[in-house]
Amino acid sequence: MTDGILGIITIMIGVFLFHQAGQLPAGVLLFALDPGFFPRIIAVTLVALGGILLQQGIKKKVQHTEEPIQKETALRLACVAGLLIAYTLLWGKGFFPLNTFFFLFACHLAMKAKPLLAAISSVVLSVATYYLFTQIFRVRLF
Amino acid sequence: MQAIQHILQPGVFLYLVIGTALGLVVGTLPGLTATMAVAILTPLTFWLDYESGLAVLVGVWNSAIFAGGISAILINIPGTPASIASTFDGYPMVRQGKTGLALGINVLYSAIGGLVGAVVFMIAAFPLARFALAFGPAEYFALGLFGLSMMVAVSGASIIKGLIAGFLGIALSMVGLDPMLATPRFHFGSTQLMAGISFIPMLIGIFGLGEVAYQMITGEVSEEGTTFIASKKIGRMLVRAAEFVRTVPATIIGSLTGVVIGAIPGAGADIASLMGWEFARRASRRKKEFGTGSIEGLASTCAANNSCLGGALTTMMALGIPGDAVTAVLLGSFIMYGVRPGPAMFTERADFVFVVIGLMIMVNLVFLAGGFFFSRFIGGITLLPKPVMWSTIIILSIVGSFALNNRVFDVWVALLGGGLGFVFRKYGFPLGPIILGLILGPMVERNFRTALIISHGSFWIFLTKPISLVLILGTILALIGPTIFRKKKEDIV
Repeated sequence: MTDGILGIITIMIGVFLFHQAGQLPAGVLLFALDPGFFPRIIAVTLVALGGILLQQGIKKKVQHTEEPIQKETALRLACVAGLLIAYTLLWGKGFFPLNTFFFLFACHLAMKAKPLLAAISSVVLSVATYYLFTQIFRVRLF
Repeated sequence: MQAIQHILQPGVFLYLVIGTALGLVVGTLPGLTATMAVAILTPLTFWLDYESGLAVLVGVWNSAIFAGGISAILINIPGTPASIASTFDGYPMVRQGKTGLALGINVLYSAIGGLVGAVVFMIAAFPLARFALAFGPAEYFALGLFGLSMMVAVSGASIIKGLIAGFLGIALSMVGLDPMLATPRFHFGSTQLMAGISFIPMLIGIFGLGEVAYQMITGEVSEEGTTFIASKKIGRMLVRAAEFVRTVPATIIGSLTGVVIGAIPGAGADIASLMGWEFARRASRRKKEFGTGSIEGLASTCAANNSCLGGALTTMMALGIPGDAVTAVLLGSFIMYGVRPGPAMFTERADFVFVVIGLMIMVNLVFLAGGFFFSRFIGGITLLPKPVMWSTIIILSIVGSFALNNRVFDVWVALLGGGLGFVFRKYGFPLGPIILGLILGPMVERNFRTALIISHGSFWIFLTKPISLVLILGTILALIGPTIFRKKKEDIV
C-alpha cells in the first residue's frame, strides 16, 4: 500500500507543478518555447508515472518490504535532525569551533557514543575542520 | 627532450608532489571542488617559474578528480561531481567487504584514464578539438537525452520509481531563472531560490546526510536486507590478473568516452564519468552486475573521469576554448605565463605544450604511486566507530556545502537533500536518476529550445545533423532495444 500512497504523492506533485507552470508568462522570443513548456511536460510525465505506481500499489505488483522504525531509533534520528536545524540557524553567531564542538558532542550522544569518545572526537573534528577550511582553503567561517 | 629535462628538475617534481597532495585532500572532502582549488592556488603560483606553477595546478586538478572517488566509494558521498558514478559500484563493493579492491581500482584506473587522456591529447589534439566544435545545440540536446536514458539503467529493481526520481530531479533543476528568457520560475518569492538550487549541496545532502540518516535507522542492515558487517580490514587493493583482463574493454570504453566528452565544451567530467559507465555497461556481457558492485563498472567510470581532463585540455590548448570552469582558470594562468592557447601555440611554444603533456603523465604516475597509501590511510574511516564516522560526514557535508558559495542557503539545500535522500532510500527509490535529472535537465531544456530558435521552429534539426541523429537513435535503441531483443530471443526459443 505504501507504493499506492507514494503514487498519489507523485500525482499531487505533478498537478502542483502543472498548475505553477501554467502561471508562468508566455515567451516573447520567436520559436523559443515558453518558460512553462518543459515544466508542463515534466508535470504530465510525473502524473502518468504516479498513476502507474498507484496502480502497481493497488495491485501489489511491487512488493516493498519495510523494516519498521523503532521508537528509540526514530527519536535519536529526530534529535540529530533537530540539532542540524539548530546548528544551521545559529550559523554565523558565536565562534565556529565552539558551536561545532557542542553540536557534534550532542550528535555523538544522540548516536549513543560514550561521553569520552564523544568529547575527544568532537574536539578533534571541530578544530580540524576549522583549521582546514579557514587556514588552508581560505573559506570564511565565523 | 628539453621538456622532459624541465619537468624532471627536483624543484618542479617537488611542486608536482605538493599539488598532487593538495588535490588529494581537496578531492576527498565533499564540497571542495577542483575548480575552487585551482582558482585559489593560481595567484599563489604567480611567483613561480611556469614549469613549477603548472606542476602545482596540474597536480591539484588531476589528483582532486581521482580523490573524489575515494569518498564516493567509502561513504557514498562523491568528493567532486566527477565521481558521482563511482558511488554506483564503489559503495556496494565496500558493503560487500571489498573496500581495498574498490579503492585500488579507483587508483589504478584513474591513472590509466589520465594517461590515456594525455596520450590522446598528444597525438590527436586537433582532430578531436574539431570534432568537439561540431557540437551545437541539437547535438547537446541529443547528448543530454542519451544521458537521461541512463535513468532506466540505474533504476535497479523499480524502473517506475527510478523514472519518478529522475523527473523530480529535472523538476528541481527548473527552479530559478529560465535558461532562455530569464523568467523566474518556482521561486515562491524567495530571492535565494531565484538563483536556482545548487547542484553540489543537493548532491552532498542526498548522498551524505541521507546516507547517515538511513544508516542510523537501519543499523547494520544493508540495502539487500542481509546483515552488513563492516570488514575489520581494508583488504587487498591490487587487482588480480584475471580481473584486470576482464576490465580491459570497460577501461578502453570509459577512457575514450571520457576524452571525447571532455573535449566537448560545457560537458565536463561529471557527464563524462556517467556516460563512460553507461557505454561500458551497454557493451558488457555482465550488464546486470553494473550498479551492484561491478569492478568493470567502477573501472570504466574511474577511467572516464580522469581521461576527460586530457580531452578538456585538448579543446582549450588547440583552440583556446575553455570547456569548463577549471580549464577557464587554467587558460588564465597560461596567459599569465605569457602563452596564449590556440593553434599557433603548438608551433610557437611547443616546449610549453610538451611540459603540460609531461606533467599530465607525471601526475598520474605520482598518484598511482602514492594513491594506494593515501587511499589505505583514508580507508581507515570505515573502521571508525559509527558515531564518529557519521559525525565526520555530517560536519564535512555542512561546511562543504557552505564553502561552495559562502551561502547558508546552500546548507539548507543540503539538509533538504538529506531529507529527500533518506525518504528515497527508505521507500526504495534509486538515487542515481535524481542526480542525472539535476545535471542533464537544464542541458536538455536549454539546448532543445536554442535548437528550435536556430531552426525557426523545425524539429528536423535534430534528425538532419549526423551526430544528433546517431545519439537520438542510440537513445531509442537503449530504451526499447532490450525489450525487442528479449522478445526475439523468446520467439526463437
